[in-house]
Amino acid sequence: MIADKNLKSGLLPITCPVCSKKFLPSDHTTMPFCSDRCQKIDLGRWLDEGYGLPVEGQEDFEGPSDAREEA
Amino acid sequence: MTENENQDENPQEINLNKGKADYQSGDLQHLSDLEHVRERPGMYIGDTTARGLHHLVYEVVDNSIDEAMAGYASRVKVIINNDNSVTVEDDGRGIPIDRHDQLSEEMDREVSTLEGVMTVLKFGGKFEKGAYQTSGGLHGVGVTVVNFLSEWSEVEVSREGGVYQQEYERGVPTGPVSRIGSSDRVGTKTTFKPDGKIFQTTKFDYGILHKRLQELAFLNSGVRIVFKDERNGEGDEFFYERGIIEFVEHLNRSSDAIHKEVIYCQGEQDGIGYDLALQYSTDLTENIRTYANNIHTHEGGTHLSGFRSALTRCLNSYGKQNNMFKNISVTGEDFREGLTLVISVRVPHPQFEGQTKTKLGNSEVESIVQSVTNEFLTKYLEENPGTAKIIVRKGIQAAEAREAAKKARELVRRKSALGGSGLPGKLRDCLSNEMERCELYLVEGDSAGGSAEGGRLRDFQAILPLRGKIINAYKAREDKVLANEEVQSMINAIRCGVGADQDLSKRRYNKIIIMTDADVDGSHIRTLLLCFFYRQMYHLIASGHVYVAQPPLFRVKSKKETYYVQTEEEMKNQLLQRGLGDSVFDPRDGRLVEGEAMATLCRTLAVIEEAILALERRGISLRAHSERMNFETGRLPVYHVFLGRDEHWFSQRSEMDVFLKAHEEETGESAQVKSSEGDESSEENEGISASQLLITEFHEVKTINTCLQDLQEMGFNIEDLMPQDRTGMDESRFALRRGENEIGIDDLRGLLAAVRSAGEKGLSVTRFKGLGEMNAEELRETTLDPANRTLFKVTMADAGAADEMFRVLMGDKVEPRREFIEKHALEVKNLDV
Repeated sequence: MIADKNLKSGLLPITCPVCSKKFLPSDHTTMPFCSDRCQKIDLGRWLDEGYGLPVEGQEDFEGPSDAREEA
Repeated sequence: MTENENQDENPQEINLNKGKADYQSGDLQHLSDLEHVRERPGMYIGDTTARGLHHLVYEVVDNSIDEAMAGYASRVKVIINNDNSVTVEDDGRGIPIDRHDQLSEEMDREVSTLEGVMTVLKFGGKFEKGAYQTSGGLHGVGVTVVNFLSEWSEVEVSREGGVYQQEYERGVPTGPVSRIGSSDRVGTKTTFKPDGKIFQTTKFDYGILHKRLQELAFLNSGVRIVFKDERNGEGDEFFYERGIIEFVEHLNRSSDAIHKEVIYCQGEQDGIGYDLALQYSTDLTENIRTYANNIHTHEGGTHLSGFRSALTRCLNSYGKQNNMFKNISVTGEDFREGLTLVISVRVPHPQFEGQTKTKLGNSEVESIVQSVTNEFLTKYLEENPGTAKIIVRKGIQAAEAREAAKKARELVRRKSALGGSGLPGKLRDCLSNEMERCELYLVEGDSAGGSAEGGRLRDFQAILPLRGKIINAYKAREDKVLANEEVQSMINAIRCGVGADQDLSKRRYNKIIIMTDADVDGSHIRTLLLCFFYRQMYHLIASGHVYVAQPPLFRVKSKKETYYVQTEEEMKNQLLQRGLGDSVFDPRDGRLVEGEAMATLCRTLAVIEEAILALERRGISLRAHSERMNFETGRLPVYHVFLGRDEHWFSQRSEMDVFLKAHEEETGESAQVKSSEGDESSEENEGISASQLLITEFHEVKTINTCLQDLQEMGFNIEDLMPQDRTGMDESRFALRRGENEIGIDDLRGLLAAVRSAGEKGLSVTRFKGLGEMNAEELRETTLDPANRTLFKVTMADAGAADEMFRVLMGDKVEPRREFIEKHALEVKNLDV
């Protein structure tokens, strides 16, 4: 069914950032989430300082080898 | 067959078969029972609405189900007849038709057991210990009440080779039990027509009976229930070998189950039988059916409470043991979200409580269900970690949603509590309140915030300084996050609301401009902000109100002027142009390259340099690749081909095609192309067949080849690009001359750098490490003033890409993150240097 609707609207299903459910963006008032609830969970995580990116130099692996320096 | 024949065949029946008038004179007590039931039907069947009406059918069916559960019957047939009477038929043992001594004595006439069952309250197998272990039927009033409340009814019993029958009018037998024929079948068939004088309606509803009969078939696995409505020919048949497992599947038929298998356990403890099945779906509500002795306990009771406390305990302890809860406490209610559950217990002496007497009250059931559920679930979760994690995660999500809703409410409350402007303290708002003109700069860092405040065009530009906050994330990783206050400040300053409450018309600014440093941290903050807007202020991005400021990367001062350069590329280009000036290149072969030739050479070198760097990022040096050069064409190979385990290089597609064709002719099979855009790690894969083909195209080498040709025309070759061992030589290999000055150069790649550094003479070039290094005037001139600034409008695609990047960087899976960062290494590096 998703495929059919897809063909008509030309839209691709997107993945909900919270629950990973795939859904079509058309007639969704809670973009980019599948539901109001997932959007709320997301807001809660922002307010909770639950979303972060690794501080530079903290990566738990070695960065890519720097070919330029070797050259 | 006639009655006379019966009498001849079985003289014993004759004793029961007395005159009709005589028959009714039997027992006043029993007649008063009849009157009592008919006067107060509610006491026996709850009420006389449609609910009570259908209850009559259940009473009769329950008897048949009991017979089936005791192992004597396998099939129950229920028919709604044309006249709105109902027939229930089973293939059980049949109600005994022989003389019932005690009853006969009491009534002072010959009374059969069958008649007793049909006409005497609290008479029957269910009260004789041992006949049935546990049985359904509401409080054992049974078929007697059905008979009493019917306009007419008849019962037909097949057993011991004969067919026996008795008819009743409003509960009173119209004659004794009579044998109407012989049969080798067994079973009981009861037909009754509810009395219109008693019931508000006597019309049976197909849907109601369908639902209940199906339910009974689920609860009593292996029993076949055939349902037919003669009024319109509708019908159905229910037979569930897997019982309540199928019930759960049925309940979840239009939901998305989050784990495949229905979790099921059954057994018996201390005389109490239990049967429970559950499965979680993505639904937000719980879907629970509980039964005691086949009676739907709408109000729950001790079986449900016992199960619930065990479920909460087991899932909580599993989550704790596996470290799944991070600062969140998950309640029993959270764990019930999306739960589809069927519990069926069999209790010898059920006690029903509550408003509608549909709440199980037996306290011993609670502890038994609790302990068996505990034991079973603990083991199940341990043995099925995949399912266990999915279920616990679902509960965590429910808890998160609950907490998030609370926080969202608090956010609104706090905003209204601020009163007045309700604007965040850190905001430096603009003077104008013409929203269409107003701009909000979100500035990373306090010092940059200070410069921005000083440099802004106060009339219509507002500044909100933001700072990333470093927290200790799990796994000893430090993360940079947007602090709670920052998020709240943004929401309050912009005012268009978040999530479901977005209202674009309430926004206070027409442009929201993100201004961050051009380094990795800055790009992370930018990513976080874009992601936040994308997720919570979607419409703001969709309508094109979010921008990214592009502060300059360089400040260039000469004697005459000061100016700013936006990008690395532009800076390099400018320096090259300046450096070219009167530069002369001496390749020490008698030539001198200058003027237009020199410019062409440097431009070619700039292009080839980028391509060589790209090649080097693959871990291949120019030196190594040069050894693969085709000396006839002077070209380097572009296509890296693995055929089976054999490695081949080709500089042109046509050469490769010739080779593959030859291979095909030789072996008679065409090569299996595995991937045309693979990377080198793929060749480590095992199980490579001899005809498996892996082609990697080095696009950048095409550029190198073109440039090499250009260089060739200028009289240089690939060797000139690579360092040479010049031990013991006095003079440098090449030289760059500017007037009197001469700079030694080792190889052609060094020429470019030398020209650029010559171009820097007389200039003071400053690279801004961050926004904070610019003073207020500089910031205004370059980044704030609409006349000079460069802004990028954030598109939906940009925001979506930021969100994707965010998901990868956020994730705790190292592999995809490593891949992602390597893939984007160049971009990050450009921002970084």
